[in-house]
Amino acid sequence: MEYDALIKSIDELASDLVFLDSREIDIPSSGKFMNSLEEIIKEAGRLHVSPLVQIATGLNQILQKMVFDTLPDKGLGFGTFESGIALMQEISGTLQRNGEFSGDIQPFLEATTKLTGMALNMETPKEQGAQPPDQETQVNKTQVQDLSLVKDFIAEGLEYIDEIEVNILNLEQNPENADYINAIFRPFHSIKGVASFLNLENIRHLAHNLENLLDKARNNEITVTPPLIDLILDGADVLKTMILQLKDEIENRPVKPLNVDLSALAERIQNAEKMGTDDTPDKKKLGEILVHDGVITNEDLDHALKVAKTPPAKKIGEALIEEGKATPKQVSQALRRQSEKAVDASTLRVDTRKLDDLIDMVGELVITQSMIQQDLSQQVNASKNLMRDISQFFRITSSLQRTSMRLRMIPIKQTFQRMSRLIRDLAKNEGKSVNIELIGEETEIDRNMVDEIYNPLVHMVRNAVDHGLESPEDRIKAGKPEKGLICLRAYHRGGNIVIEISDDGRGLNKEKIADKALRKGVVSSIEGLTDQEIYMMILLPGLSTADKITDVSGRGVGMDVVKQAVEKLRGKIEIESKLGVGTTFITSFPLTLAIIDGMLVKVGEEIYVIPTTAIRKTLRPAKKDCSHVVGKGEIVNVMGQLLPLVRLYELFGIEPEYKEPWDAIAVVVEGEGHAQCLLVDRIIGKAEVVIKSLGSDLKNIKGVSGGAILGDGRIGLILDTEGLFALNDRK
Amino acid sequence: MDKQIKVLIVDDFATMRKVVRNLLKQIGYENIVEGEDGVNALKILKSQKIDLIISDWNMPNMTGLELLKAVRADETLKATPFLMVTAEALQDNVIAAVKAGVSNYIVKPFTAEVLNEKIKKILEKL
Repeated sequence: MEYDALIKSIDELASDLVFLDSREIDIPSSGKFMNSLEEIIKEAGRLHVSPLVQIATGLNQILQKMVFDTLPDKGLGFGTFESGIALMQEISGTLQRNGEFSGDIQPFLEATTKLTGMALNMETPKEQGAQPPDQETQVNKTQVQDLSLVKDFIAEGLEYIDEIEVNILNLEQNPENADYINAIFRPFHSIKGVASFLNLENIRHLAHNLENLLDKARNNEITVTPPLIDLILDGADVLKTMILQLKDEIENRPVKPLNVDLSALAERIQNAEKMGTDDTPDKKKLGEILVHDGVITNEDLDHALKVAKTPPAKKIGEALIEEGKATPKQVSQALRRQSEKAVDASTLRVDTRKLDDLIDMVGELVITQSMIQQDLSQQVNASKNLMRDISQFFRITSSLQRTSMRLRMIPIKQTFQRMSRLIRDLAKNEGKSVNIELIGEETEIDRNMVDEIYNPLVHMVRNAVDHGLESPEDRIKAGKPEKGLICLRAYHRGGNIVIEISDDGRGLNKEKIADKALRKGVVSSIEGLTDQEIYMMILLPGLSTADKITDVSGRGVGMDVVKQAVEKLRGKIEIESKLGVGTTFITSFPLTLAIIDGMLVKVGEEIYVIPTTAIRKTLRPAKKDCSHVVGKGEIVNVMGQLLPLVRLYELFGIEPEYKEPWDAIAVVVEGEGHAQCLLVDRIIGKAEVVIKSLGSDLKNIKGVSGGAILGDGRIGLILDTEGLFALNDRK
Repeated sequence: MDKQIKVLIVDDFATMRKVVRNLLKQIGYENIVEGEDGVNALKILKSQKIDLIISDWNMPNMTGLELLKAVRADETLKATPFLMVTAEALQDNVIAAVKAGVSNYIVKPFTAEVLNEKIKKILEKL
């Protein structure tokens, strides 16, 4: 019979009610009842038994009130609920008997309305209704006094704000991506939640407002526009300042006043909430990408848009392909870029100290391993099995070392995102508009390197925006798109991470740079210099004073500082540029600061490590090439260049094997624009060594940057070429 | 009342987990494990016996509601008491959780007393 299912549901509901332990419906039972009632409403609605629908709806409302604990009289509530179920049974009974319903549902409906204060057949209000009475606004004071909690909150809160910044920039690129909105919403929400426990009313309030704003964006009640993004960024900034204030406060430092009008911000947020949705959302992203790539022109795009709109409606990409303006491959590439999403690997947060300890220990293991290896090579009758087992052990150790090194690697993403925020702000200040392209954000780099490379990169980025990009007017005059493009790209090459910063600005003017260099006497002739070499001159100290170089090339403000910083990290800079087309700075850094590629040299009984990056060549000078110059000390003629000679054995006070340069070996090392010859007895070979600090007692020693434990267990000091220059100059 | 029960706190915000942990300690619950999101929580639930789950609603990867549904759908876990933490009284959320079989819910910010009451209510039904 058609009512069977319905009747069965009602009976089940009634028996569940009978079997309740008490005359109170707890939350799990409410859930069960609600599900059954919904089932009944659906079924009864399908069969047009409207009295049942009405009763079930009323019962549902009573249950909701019970869940929120807002019934004035719980006993009465339960009684009404019971009577409703009984009424439903009665109805279902008559239905079963004669297929018709007779009975008065009015008293029940009235009782329900009286109880719940809601007219029936009305939707439950979706708003955040009355707060349950058991919510106490007064928060337990012992919470607030727990300083460690506040400290945790500060640390984690700041991290969350970083996350917000990262995601908001993503959102700006993909305003309709709900995932990104969610990713911003959540941290605000979490900050709010904890702030409410810690009684941080200002923080809670602001986070709450921003969260509401984002909630509206998420529900498509307002559109994500650049002003909205600005507002959220501003809000995040203020939130950050407030958290930093809190930090100052608990660390007993003077608290910087908050130079922000909170009420003005609140007002802006309110206005933004009212803004509503923009009716014409920017839908032509795909076209924009293709135009930007130079695949199609703006006219092509306009035309294709028209074609795509005329019935039969097509997607813009299809229209372009049909018109022959773009190949399917180009379109699919653009589409892929459009939907490119960051890979969200599942991660585990570990204390860096533990990680460093682990890596240290693995380093020790590697050293012990090479000691065993050496001992073994001296053993004549080592058993074959032992040899095999040990070589297996070596393989495991070295893969363990590689893996542990990788533990400290993090994607460059965050650095890039921070920079794109910077680019955005800078460009805005200067009235330039700029597109930012990030490529290879997943490229990994040592955690310790990230902070180190940030400053030089920032400087280059600042230059690119400041001086590289032309003003919008100039760009239009030059026939370029009004919006400039700055591209940050990262990738691995060899043992290095390469980071390129390119702009499509005015480019470097090599004639002017060369001219300047000649006048300054940096070079005597530019003949035979490659373009590359000329560009590199902007990195020289004499050529990069702000006012002078700026009118020459529009570049080079403090570039010598950048070069120094990069070289300190054992990195390199190259410059590529084309006048009027743009400039690219290519920097490469070692992936980690913990390992260094070094040349092992011997002086007397001591072994030293010279970083390979600093070495230009090695030679045994002829007797005629060595001489004394008054006031300059000993010098060696190396292929026409006179370089100072540093006798390492003198410097470190050891007895060498060979005293005279023509018996020993000279290693030419260079750094910061000058070079010198280091005199050593022999070259032992090349090795990758793990850098160990010498400890705080020895940290101010000039000429030595650290130590390394060598294969035979001995210690080799790592020479610091810069320090050696200074030492030699003092002499 | 058995204060030895093992409680699993699920929240992506570590400070929040600590807040809840402290509140639990105040009312005598010491046996606590933490999960940083729904996925992680499920792993924990699979590996050890948990007597009570206290989960936040809004989390990445897997929301509290999704976790609740996953727990209720799992034969071995489905009877585990589940207390949902929500922000304000977002009624729709609460009702959705109730329908999905939540044991009880609690609204942020809450005090140790309220938490105690809720836990008591949940446990006395067992």
